[in-house]
Amino acid sequence: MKRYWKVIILPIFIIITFGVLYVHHAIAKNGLPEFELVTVEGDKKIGEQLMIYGDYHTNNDSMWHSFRLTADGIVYQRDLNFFEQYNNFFESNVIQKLIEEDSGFMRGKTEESNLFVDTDKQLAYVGPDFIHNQMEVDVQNKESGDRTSFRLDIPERSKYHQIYVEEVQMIEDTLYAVTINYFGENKDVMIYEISIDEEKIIDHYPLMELPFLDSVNVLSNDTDIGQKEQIVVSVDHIEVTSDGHHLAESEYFTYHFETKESKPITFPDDFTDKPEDPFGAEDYLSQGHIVTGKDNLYFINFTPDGLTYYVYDLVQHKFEEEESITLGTSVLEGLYGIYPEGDSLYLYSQVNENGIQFRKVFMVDLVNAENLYEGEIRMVDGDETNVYGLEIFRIQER
Amino acid sequence: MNYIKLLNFELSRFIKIYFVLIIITIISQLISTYSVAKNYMNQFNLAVYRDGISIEKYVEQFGQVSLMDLQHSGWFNLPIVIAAVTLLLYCFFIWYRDWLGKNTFIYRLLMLPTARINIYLSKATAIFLMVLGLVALQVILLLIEGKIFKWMVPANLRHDYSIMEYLANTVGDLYLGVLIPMNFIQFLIHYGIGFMFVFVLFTSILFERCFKWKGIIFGVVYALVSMSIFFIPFILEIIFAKRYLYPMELFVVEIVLGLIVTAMSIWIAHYLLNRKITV
Repeated sequence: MKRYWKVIILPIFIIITFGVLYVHHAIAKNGLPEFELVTVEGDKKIGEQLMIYGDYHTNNDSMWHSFRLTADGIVYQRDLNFFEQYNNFFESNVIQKLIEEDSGFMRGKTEESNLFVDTDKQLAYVGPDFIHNQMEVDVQNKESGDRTSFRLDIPERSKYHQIYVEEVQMIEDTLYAVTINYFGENKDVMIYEISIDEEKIIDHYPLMELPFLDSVNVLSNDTDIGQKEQIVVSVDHIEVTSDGHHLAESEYFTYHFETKESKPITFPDDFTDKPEDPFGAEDYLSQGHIVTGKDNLYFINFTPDGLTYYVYDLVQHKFEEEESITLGTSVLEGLYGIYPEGDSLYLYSQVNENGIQFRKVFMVDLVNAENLYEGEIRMVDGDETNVYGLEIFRIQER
Repeated sequence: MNYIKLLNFELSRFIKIYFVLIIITIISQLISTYSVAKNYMNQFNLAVYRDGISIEKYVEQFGQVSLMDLQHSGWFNLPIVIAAVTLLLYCFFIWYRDWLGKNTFIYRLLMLPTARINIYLSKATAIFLMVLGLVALQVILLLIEGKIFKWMVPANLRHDYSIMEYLANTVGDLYLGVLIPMNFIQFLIHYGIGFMFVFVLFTSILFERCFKWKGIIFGVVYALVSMSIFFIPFILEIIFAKRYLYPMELFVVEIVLGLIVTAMSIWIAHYLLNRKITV
């Protein structure tokens, strides 16, 4: 037996070392702090519906750990077991729900919420098929479960070297795909009308042609894939001079799919969504923010103790009266981030009072100009001293 | 028992080099830890006692010292690289040494009254144990290195990490996160994949030993086919520009494919050792 000492000692050394390491880790979990969301004011049910994504880090930045905080408690990405870690920790709630409801329909699809539209009766998808240079369409009847799937040749495909689907909408049995098609030094913003019954593109036309450098965006709320009759488009026209690229002009307009009508949106006089110095560190709150609601567009300016905003009615195409919400000077001083979700706006503020930092979450209702909820992220069984940081990068409904 | 005897024999043949690797790793990493802690304290003493900077200001400016500082030290990383390269080369040498020299040792091995596949399995197990032994040593060394910091640096100037905290913060940018995964299932996966590669390599070497020049082509083709089988879900994903499998499904498929490749390698090696091997 003595001559086999290598065969005996080596495995024992390995098993004990790794056994102790993993068992100890499983028991201790190395004590990352527990946090909870406590309702300070407002409806407790709002807090119970929130999902907060962020990073916990020590004050010397030596440790960063991503977490998800809900009323059920905090979950650190690090502490998930292997199988849970395999799923995307930060995956959009909308996509996650669609996969949970019907994984068969979602299989093989590009997981971007703007490629889906969910009406009361149907769930539709229009996405790129890069292999065949076609458009892939899949529509499911939510009651019967019947699916209509087909691929479409894109008219004048050879003209374009790259096509991206930006937005998908459906009105009755017609799908509308808004795409950005790149060619040469320019790009077309195109609308393709797709008949689900006939399984073909029944019309296509350019919404606008832009130089390559100009930036175009379809403003949308990525957690809402509901049906809309019109879209809001923003365009930044870029000017190239000898000393670089400059923003020459911005334009916003609505486009109605059925009437094919575009209507420009003129900003209120005291509103701009562009910082004076694009590279300045303090410009986050000095500039205005545009939030896309269901039927409204909100032009939000921050004041020293809250926010004021203009409501643009997308149905009536007119501005309503200016609204304001007061949150308090200390909240605004410590405002860290704003997270729009439809007609609601979530805010996260690191309020410093007497050297103690409070981490507060607010939910404001932009339709009724009300502060509906104030919550506080507190460390469970810990001292609230300023020795760690919580970086919040998304707050949304569960 | 024959398998154990062969395994013991394979370990014995490498044990001297193995001990050298262990000693190099221990000495080099302890020197590294000592010098990182010593340099930090020297800088601290100069800044605080000569330049009059307050302790708080120093910590704010230069941070606390911790195990993290070791990852940029050459003395810390070099033995890991040396050990990895040595064991990688030994994956080839463990076979070719049997054919080298005046008396071809493989002749005696093949004539042993035991199943020939035991030779293959014992060599693979020897590699497996030697790799895991060195990684386990690294775990122990990290514990000792943490203690050295505690002895040499006052508490307010250092940040104490547990091994897992240390690994959690190095994952992604350092190979230690691959060698010592954060949980046991990942450990099984990392080393399962690693040893699937070892089995494929051993079978490719046997192809070369069986068919000489033609065998090199067979071996390369076999390795490529094996890797294609293992990576086929990813290859299909690239070809069709689509992700058909959800993460959990992909994980299960990869486990099955990994087992198929490993079983195939062992079965082919069994066939080659029994029917085609030449001395």
